[in-house]
Amino acid sequence: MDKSNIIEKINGFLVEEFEVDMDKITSDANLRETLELDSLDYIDLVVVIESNFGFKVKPEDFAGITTFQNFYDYVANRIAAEKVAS
Amino acid sequence: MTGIITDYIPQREPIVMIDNLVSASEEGATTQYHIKENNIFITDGHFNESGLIENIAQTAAAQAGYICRQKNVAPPVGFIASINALEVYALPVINSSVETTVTITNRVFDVVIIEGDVKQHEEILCRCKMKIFTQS
Repeated sequence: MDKSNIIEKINGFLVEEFEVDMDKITSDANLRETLELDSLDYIDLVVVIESNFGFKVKPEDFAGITTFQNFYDYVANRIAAEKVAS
Repeated sequence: MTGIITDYIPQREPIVMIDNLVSASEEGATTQYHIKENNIFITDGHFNESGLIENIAQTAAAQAGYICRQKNVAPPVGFIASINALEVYALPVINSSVETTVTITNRVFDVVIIEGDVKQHEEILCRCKMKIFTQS
């Protein structure tokens, strides 16, 4: 799965799960503000990440994620790391 | 299953909303409950929505309590963090019994995500999803 596929998949489940308009999702937009995430919504976000990409997320993983681009990069890096590990 | 229900849950009368733990595993649990006239969640002769939700939450608590007893560790304290997709089709009447099943669908950080349903004579009366925050 290349980066554009990953981004497309992420945007697809964010629109569905968090009922956000696709046109509000831009790479430099703030993830938390755009999706209006509260602490429990982060749990839902972890569930959709884990179910769609098959890796476990740790709480500290979110420390460096502010924008959608940060989020895409995080998921892509984790997928790549999982591939290397396997 | 052996033991009394308060061996597995922290609630005490008059808040106990399950009678028997029918089965329990790492994945979920099933309980039974007979609705008595003096239940605090009775409204117009029926076990109300709050009672059904508490019944599902206590079934989840019983699952955790049972597993922890098996492992000889203290059970975590659980708090309902959210309730989603609540559907109530019917309310059970006084002096009837219900069977409640909880399935753990996910564990994320300190939160257990469950799906629960309350049945009577194989008919679903109520179901919902819950996030339960656990504190060891």
